[in-house]
Amino acid sequence: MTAARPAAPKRAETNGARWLPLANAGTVGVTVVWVGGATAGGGAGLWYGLSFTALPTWALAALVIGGVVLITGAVSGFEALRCRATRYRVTGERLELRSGVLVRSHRSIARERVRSVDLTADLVSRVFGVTMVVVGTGQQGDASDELKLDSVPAAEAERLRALLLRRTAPGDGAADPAAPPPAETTLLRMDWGWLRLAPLTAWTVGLPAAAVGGVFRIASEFGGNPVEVLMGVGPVRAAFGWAVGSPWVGLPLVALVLLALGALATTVLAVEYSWGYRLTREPGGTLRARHGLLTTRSITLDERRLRGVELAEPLPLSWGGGAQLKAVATGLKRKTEDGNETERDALGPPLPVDRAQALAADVLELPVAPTASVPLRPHPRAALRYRRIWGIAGGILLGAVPAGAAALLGWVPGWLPAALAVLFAAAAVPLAGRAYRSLGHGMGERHLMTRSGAYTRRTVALRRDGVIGWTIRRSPLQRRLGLVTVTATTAAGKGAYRVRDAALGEGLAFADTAVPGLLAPFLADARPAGRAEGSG
Amino acid sequence: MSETTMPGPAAEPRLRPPRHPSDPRAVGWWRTQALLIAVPAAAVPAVGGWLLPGAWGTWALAAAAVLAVLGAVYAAVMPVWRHRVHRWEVTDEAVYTATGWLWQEWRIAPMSRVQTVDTVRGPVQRRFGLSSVTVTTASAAGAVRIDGLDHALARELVRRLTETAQAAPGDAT
Repeated sequence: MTAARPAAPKRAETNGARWLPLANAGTVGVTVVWVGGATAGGGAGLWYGLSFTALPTWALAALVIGGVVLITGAVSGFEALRCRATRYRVTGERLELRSGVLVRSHRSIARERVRSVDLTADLVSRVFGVTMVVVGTGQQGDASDELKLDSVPAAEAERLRALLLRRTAPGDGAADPAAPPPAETTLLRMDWGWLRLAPLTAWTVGLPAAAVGGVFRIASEFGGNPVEVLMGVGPVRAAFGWAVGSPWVGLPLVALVLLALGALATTVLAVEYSWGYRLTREPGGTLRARHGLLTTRSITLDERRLRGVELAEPLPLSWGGGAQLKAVATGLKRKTEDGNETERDALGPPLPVDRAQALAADVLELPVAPTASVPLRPHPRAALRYRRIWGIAGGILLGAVPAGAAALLGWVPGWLPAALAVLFAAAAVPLAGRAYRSLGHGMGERHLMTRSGAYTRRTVALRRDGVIGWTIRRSPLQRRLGLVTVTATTAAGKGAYRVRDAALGEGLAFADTAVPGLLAPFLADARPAGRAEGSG
Repeated sequence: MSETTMPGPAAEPRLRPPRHPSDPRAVGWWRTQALLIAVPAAAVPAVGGWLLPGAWGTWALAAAAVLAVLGAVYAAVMPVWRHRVHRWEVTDEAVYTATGWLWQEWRIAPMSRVQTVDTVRGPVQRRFGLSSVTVTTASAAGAVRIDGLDHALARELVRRLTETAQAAPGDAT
C-alpha cells in the first residue's frame, strides 16, 4: 500500500536539488484497480455473450480470465515503467520534471510563474493514499503550460501546494516549512439547505432520458425489436399495460416517476460534488476551493488573475431563485489535458441568489457586489423585435426541416413538420421575451456590467482595467434597427464579453466611459441620422 | 432611432471611419477569392447534371444555374462593398480597423496591450502585391487584422507597430 520510497522528504527544498520519485506503488495500484475493473466488466459481458455458443466452459473461463489478466498486467506494467521513469524536484527557482520511458523529456517551470496547484484524488486514489497534482502557470489556457504529477502521496501533495504557492521573496526556498500555516479566512462553507437547488438543472430531465435510451440500446443488443424484448419482461409489460389502460393517470405518473429519479440522481451527484465545500482566501493572495465526497478536489485561483465575476442563472435554477457564481480570471483553462471540461471557474455550488451576491462581494473584496448594486440600463425595444425575428425563424427551421425531410421519406405523417414549426416558433416567443429582459449594461466604479442570455442569463462584472480592446459589430438587421453589439476583449475567461443589441449611441458611450481615452479619438458627434458607418 | 426608450443626448457618439482606405488592388484579390469558391461550387453540379441521366440531371443543372447566379452576384458586389468598408488607422495609442461588408466590424486594440505583430502573404494575395497584418493581444478574441495592404506599406507598418508596442509600458494583460 505504501509507496516504495524513502520516508517523506524532510526539508527537501533546503538542499534544493533532491530528485523525488512519484508514489510508484500507489499509482500502479490505482491503475490495476481501474483497468482490472473495466476489463473484468467487459469480460463478464463477453462471457455472457459467448455462453450461447458451443464453447466449453473451461475454454471460456481461460479466454476471459486470461484476457483480463493480460490487459491489466500490460497496462499496469507500462504504468510502472512510466512511474519509475518519472522524477521531479523543487529548487529555489524552478519546478522540474523528468519523464518518459522511450523518449525522455525534461520540463521545468519557474516557481514565480506558478499560479495554481490543483489536487485531485478519486476514491481509488484515496484508498491508495495518492493524489494527482497539476501545477499551472495560468498563461493562455492550453495544456502545454501545466505540469502534472500523477501521482504523489497525499501529504506530499499538500506540502508541494503550500511550497509552490508561498508568496515570499523570489528565490527564497529556505523559508521555514515548520512555521505554523498562517490564518485563512473562510468565504463559503456548504449549507445543506442549498441542496434543494441541485435538481434544478436540465440533467434532471436529461439523465432519465439517457437512461431510457440506454435501456433501449441494451434491449436491442438482445436482438430484434427493443420494445418486444422489454415487453417480454413481466413487470415492464404489466406496468405498460396499466399505463396505456388509463393514459390520463398512467402517462403523467410515468413522467413523474422518471423526473423523481432524475431529481434523485442530480441530488446524489450534487452531494458528491458539494460535500465539505469550503472556499477560503489564503494569506498568499489565493482563493482555494475544496470539495468532494468520493473524489476530493482542491482548486486554487490566484487573485491577481481575477478580472471579475459572472453570475449564471440557467432557466430551471432561476425558478428556484438560485444562481451559480463563476470567476472571470486569466489562465483558467476550460479543458484539461484529457480534453475533459472542468469547472475550475466555479465559485461554490449553485447558491440562492442573495448568498451568491454576498459571495461575489467577498471575492471582489467590496462591501456590495457590482452584480447587485450597479443599475443596469435596458436595451431598446428593437432588440426584442430582433430576438423575436431570429427566434421565430430559427424555431420554424428547427421544427420543419428535419421533420420535413423525414416526411418526404415517408417516416412521419405529413402534418408533423407544420405542427412542429408552429410549436417551436410559439416556444421561441417567450424565450425571446426572457432574452430581451436579460439584456442590460451598466457602469460601476471599477467594473463594467453586461447581462444577456435566453436560457442561461449571465450577469458579468468585468474589471474596467482588464479590458484590452473593443470590437463593435453590426449586422444588416442591426443597422436597420439602430442597434450595435459592443464587445470588450480581455485576457480573462471567455476572452470577450458582449453588450448585445444596445442602442448605437449608448453602446459607444458605454465603451468610451469604461476605458477613458481609448475610443475617444475615433468618435465623432452624430450628424442628425445616426446610420451605418463606413459604407459611405 | 424612434424606439430608444430614453431621450438621447443632443450629440450621440458615433464612430468615424479609420483614416486610411484599403488598397484598390484588394478589390481584385477579394474578387479572385470569391471566384475561387463560386466557380467550383457551380461547376461541380453542372458537370454532374451533364453526366446524370433524366430528372436528376435536370435538378443538378438547375442547382448549378442558381449557384452560378448567386456566385456571380457575390463576386460582383462583395469586393466593391468590402473596399468601401475596409479601412485602417494606427496612432501612437491604438490600432483601429473597419472590416466586413454585410456584417461590419470595427476593432480597437490599445498599443499597450499588443503582444505580437505578424504579416501574412497568401499565394493569391502575393499576385496582387498585397499583405495582411495581424495584431494580437492577450485576448483569445481580440486579434485585429488589416487586409489588403501594399507590401512595402505593410512592412513599414509592422516595423512601426513593433516599435510602438515595445515602447508602451505594461505586461499586455
